[in-house]
Amino acid sequence: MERKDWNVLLVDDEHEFVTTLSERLALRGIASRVAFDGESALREVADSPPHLVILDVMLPGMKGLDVLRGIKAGYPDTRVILLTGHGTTKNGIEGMKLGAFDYMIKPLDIDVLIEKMNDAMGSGR
Amino acid sequence: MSPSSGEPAETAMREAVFMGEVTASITHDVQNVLAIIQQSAGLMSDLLDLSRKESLKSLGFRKGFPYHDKFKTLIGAINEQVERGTGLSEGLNRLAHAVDDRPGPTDAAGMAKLLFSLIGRIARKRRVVFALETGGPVPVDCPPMAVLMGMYAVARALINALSNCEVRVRVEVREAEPVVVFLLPEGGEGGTPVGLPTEMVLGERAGTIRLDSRDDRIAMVFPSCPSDGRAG
Repeated sequence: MERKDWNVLLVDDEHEFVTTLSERLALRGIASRVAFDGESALREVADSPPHLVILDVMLPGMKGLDVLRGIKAGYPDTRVILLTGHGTTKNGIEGMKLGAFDYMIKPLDIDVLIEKMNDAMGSGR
Repeated sequence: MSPSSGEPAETAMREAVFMGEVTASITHDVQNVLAIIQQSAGLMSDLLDLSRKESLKSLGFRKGFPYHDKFKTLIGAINEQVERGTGLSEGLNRLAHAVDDRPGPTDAAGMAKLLFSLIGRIARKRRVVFALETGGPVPVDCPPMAVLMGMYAVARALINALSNCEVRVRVEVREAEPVVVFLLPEGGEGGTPVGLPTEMVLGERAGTIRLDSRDDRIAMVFPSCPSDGRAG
């Protein structure tokens, strides 16, 4: 599948971060939707199941790992890349046990992120 | 450093836990701030590239941004500072988690790396540089904060006593004992630190560090692990 056909959802409560990231992905031919909390992320997923979700684990309210569980329960084919902080890498590891494709530590390099997105889209997980 | 007991020790522990939790939480926010700065600088860079590309495509009819190169340099500087801030935030986060009460051995080499990354500025004031020489993890039977405090006491004494020099620090296992050796420089200014004790009692459950101070080195011998436990 070509990049332009990817259905990508970005989930992070840091509005500036996630909207800027979305804009940068768009400049690279990857369209994405954004959600700022777990509940609206799950609604977005239900509306149009994405191929790929970039999900922050430290969300206010519903936690990132619970969102991951919800996604994987209803849409096991959706790939999830988690975003963690350096103090919360154990959440990333825990997330991979729950079916996440991989995790990345913030701040993140967009080229590395796209590389991982490519890998995820090429994988069956 | 002396052992504490009873209520003052409990109060100190509660204060340390409070400081640790709040600091760890703040470092998470700092990471988010840095992530936003990094992505915003990245977007500026993307747009500059786009503008240049469009100018080239128009064969010069559409003028490019005149300060393209200067802006690129500034964006590079922003990214360097984001990287620097990330390192500092990471160190601070690890320091905050050093008060966590977790069982098992501590990696003295990892703690030394953390300590010297955190106290670089304090040492630079006296133009002292700590150069860490270590191989793999060196497990010690001591809580992380006690390891940090013990090493800091010696490092601080050296900073006070010396200036304009490099102190090599080796973390290794010597004759089955985990040791941290501060090799004193031949050059530089200042003298051997005075007033260091021959042992440091690190408090309840933290054991005792033996100190062997000589003219050319100060060796700290940490409590070794009962078995070959893996350092956390």
